[in-house]
Amino acid sequence: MNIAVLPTESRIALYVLGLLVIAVLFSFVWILLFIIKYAKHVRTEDEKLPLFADVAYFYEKGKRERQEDSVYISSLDKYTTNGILACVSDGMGGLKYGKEISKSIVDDLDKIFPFPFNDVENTVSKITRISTEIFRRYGRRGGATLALVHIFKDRMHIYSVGDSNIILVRNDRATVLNQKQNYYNILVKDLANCGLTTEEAYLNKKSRALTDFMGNVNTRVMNTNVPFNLLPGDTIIICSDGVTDAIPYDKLPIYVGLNAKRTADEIKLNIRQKNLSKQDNYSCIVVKLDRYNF
Amino acid sequence: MIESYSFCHSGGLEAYLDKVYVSYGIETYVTIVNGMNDVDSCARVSKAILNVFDSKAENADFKSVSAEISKKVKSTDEYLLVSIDDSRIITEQHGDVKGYLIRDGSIVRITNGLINLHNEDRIIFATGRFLDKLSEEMILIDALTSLSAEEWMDFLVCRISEINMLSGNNRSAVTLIVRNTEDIKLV
Repeated sequence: MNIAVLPTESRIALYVLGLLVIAVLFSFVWILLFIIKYAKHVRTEDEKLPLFADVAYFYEKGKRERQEDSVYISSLDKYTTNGILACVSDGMGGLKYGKEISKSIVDDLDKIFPFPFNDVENTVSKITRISTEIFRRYGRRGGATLALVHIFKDRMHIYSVGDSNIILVRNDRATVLNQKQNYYNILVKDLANCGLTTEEAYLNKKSRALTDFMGNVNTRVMNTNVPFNLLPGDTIIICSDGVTDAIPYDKLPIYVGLNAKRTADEIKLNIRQKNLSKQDNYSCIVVKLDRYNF
Repeated sequence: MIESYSFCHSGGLEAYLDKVYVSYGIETYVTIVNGMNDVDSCARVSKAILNVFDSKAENADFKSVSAEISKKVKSTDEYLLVSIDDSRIITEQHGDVKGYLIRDGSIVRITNGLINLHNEDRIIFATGRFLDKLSEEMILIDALTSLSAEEWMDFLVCRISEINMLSGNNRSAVTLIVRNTEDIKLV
């Protein structure tokens, strides 16, 4: 069509229409670019959000005469500034004062918290001092384990003495994070260094005995020197061996649910249903981490 | 300074067919030969490595060492050649011998080539048979909680032992920690 032959009014109308179409197209592209930029911004901000912790616990006596475990969870009110401290202490069976010692450990932790997340050396010496003080009071007539995690933003420090468990469940797979301080590990090391296989280490049930515990002098605290990076969806299970004796640690992912309470309830219910004749005290803290606020 | 610890275990088998060599000098060379698949291959690679290391000049660069070794081995041979000092690591992996770098609470798989190193970086190289029972989370947490290269190795060995009592296969690994020499004080 030759525009030149059209009347002036029609030509003007066509030009205006053309300009309008260009303006609409330009606006459309601009809006599209804005949406893409905004979506990217939202995603980046989301990644910057610290991991929120959803926490639940249980604390059960099992078939023992008395409860010798103790549990401590710091207040979540100051989670953003102090992080969260969660600890299970298991009084050593067969020795006097297991209950008193595990309780005094969590009481002392409550007194010293909050402490700076990155001051690992100082935290270790505080834990060692707690252990030495227990030794001074009870003189090896009792002791307890310590499984402690300090989570701050996306990072976690672990502190462990004895053989309680700190378990990470990630992508439906469980990993015991802390090395146990028992004779198994010493025997395994010796046998391996001699070039032997390690069946012998597992034949003697006494190998489960602890080589270090809270209540010993110069206790070696097994701790992370650099924090462990956590991911959204991670679940941390801190528990006494009463839990892992009833449910092998690698089966724990089956019980991990949408939130911490459901996970803790499932684990507790399963142990209760097993009704094992020698069920030890079983205590557990479940920390479920994700980017959104529960 | 590079702190290192080697683990060589036959797994209850008659022969230990892998080989681990650590050669200290201006830079530390680590070589692991995965020998379980092929005894001849293991002998060939070991001989090549020993020849090259015996004859190489003290300041021979990685490229020339690697080229010398590769002239004497077959393309199917499984081995790892690493040159490491305080500031960098150069890696060449052939076959089922892997490495991981642990830095700032995270673990990454080491690929062939050069990586700059920082103080307290932790590195593990091992045959697939050593690593097949270990998850990345296990390797990472043991690196973060151990005080030395030897203790890190002990922790890993305990984990493998819990699963298979160290039986059935040759297992070989080397753990390395970069230690800033400024941190070492003799009083």
